[in-house]
Amino acid sequence: MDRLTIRNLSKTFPGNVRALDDVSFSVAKGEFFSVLGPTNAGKSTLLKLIAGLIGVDAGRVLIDDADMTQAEPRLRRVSLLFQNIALFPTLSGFDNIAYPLRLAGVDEAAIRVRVAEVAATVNVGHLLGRLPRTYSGGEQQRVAISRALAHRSRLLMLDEPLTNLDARLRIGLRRQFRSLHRDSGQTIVYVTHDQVEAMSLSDRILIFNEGRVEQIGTPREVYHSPATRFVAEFIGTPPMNMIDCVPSADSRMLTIAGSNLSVQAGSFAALPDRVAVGIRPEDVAVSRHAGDATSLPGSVVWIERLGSRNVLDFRIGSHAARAVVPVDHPVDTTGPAWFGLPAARQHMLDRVTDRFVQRQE
Amino acid sequence: MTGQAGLELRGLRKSFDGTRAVDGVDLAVAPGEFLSILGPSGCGKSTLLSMITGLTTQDGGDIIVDGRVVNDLAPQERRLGLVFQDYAVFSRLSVRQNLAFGLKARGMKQAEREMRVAAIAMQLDLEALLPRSGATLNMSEMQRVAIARVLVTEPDILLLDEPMSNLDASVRMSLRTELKHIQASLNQTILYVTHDQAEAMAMSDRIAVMNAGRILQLGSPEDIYRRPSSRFVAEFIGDPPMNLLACELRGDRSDGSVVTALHGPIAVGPCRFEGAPSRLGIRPHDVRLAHDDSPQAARTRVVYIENIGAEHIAYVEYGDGLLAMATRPDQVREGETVSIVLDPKALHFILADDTVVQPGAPGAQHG
Repeated sequence: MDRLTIRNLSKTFPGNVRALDDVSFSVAKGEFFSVLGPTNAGKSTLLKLIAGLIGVDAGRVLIDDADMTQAEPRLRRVSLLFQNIALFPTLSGFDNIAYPLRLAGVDEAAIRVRVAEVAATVNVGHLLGRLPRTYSGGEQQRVAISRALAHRSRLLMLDEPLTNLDARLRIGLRRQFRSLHRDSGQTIVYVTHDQVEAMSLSDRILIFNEGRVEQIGTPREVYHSPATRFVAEFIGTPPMNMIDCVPSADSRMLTIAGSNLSVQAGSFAALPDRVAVGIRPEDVAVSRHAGDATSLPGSVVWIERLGSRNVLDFRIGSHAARAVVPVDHPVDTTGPAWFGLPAARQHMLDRVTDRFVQRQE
Repeated sequence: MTGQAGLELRGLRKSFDGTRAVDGVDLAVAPGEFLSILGPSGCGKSTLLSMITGLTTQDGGDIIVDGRVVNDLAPQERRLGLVFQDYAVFSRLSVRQNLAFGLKARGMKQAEREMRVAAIAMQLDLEALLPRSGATLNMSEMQRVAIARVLVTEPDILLLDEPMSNLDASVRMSLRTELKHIQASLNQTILYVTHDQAEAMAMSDRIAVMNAGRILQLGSPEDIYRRPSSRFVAEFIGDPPMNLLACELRGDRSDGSVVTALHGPIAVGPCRFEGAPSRLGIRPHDVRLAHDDSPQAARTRVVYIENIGAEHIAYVEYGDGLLAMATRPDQVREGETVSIVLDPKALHFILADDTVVQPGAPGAQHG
């Protein structure tokens, strides 16, 4: 059964600002579903429409198959944690977290157990007896996250809950969110602009841009089979390389635009006239020497050393691209090197539609 | 351009209401160096920066810019340029007006202002943008304008305070490459404050890791990653974080070996440290799948996999807990039994006093 179904949702704000444009998707019961997109993509508007805080222009919102499009927010029985959290200033951490449970009539003994559980998971045990004004920004956010998690509503929606937190704290909370979801089986809609959060937490991801759905899929699908140029460039650090190429008449070879360098093409259906080869930085072949797998001469112009891996900024002709290699890779200084775009790892972008061409199995 | 001066901090201290925010910081930034101060929020890095700029007065210690003690100078007399968080380019002014803003505020004559603006625009490739309004810039252009606006005042040192912290990940990646290029081409001394280790690792010549008001370690990105000297640095650097395993030291201290819940004995050579290590640290990228029945391998079960795109982090059963290992996508599956080895050259011992030593590192010297 689907917990949430969104059908053809549209919303335009005064001044003809289109926030949502014909958005449809559904979230299964118990699913961890992320909405991923850049700042101002319309992600927060989507959550407010689901919660009923603003009205829709067109389309429907179904919760547990019941039409809630016009229902009052409190009748929808969903909870929403905003990015800008508001704790009750006169209540202790414990009472803040317990608040929605008390509202729901849970008995005090059960509340104590539940608050203690969540406090241990999100690591706010030391804050329970204190008032919010004594918290740092990160501590406030963690208590607010605890409050949202304590009350198991049928649909929990989180709007950028980890944004503005310390990088180190984010990594830890990412893992805690995931185990919390595994243990509770709660249905979660999670809005973020952080692709690593979306990739590591979600069952499925909706990628959102300028009010439209670019793609919906598992983390594996959106990473390995992106539908559009936007998805390919938004997901992955560094993002997918895009190299303009001209296909041969039989679509078996690709000439890199503006050069006389050619590589073998992967097995795709007949290619359009203008394509770009998409290749993930970790899939680029790199060698000090020319070879069958590394037939393209180029040069490494910069190396970013990240500790666990090196990022090579390189040029082939006038094209700039990046490769990710292990720290013990033989190419670890700038200068001439040889590169390859393995046929099996290529993605093929139609430059006219900016959508990817299907691979032929 | 000036910009190739050094910065030195000696015994810098500051307390607020009895809490030591900065607790005796000594640091020398070399001329032309890109040095990052990296630490969690609340570690004192913002207070440190605020004292350097002169907006906060230190309780003790000296700030020395290009050989001059600037303790008693007002902020604008210290010849420092501060780039604000999110770059804060004036959106209602043109790029030209943005660049001239600081010069006008200093009462510089128009002819000289125009000359300076033209010069910096040429250096940072901003000439085509000069007539554009600040509101029309993309993030890369905005970064260049924000930096140019400060550099045009010819500061000795450029200070950046978490400039990228609120930006999208895909944007941050290209901005940091570009910032490093600008710094390298101008040979500009930069002090960069951040809580983001990837930024610090990617751009810095050296990193000062700070916690609880002190600099815990100062070194190259590789030093900080490969040879952390304290438990805090070992755990703070690295994503996913370093695994910490229960361990037992065996054999003679002149030629020791280490045993963990699943592995061992792993030869670690001479142990030139006092006492027994409390934990063995190993990074997820230094745990490998064993391709054969090597005697160093141990069999264990994959509990779950965290997909972060280019890599999958596999969590395997290890004693009472889990061990994280970095794998290629689809290399292992949840529930599968695998053989793993720990890279003996990448082990860290956490000692009872929370100092860290690397027994396997070539040429490691520990007193």
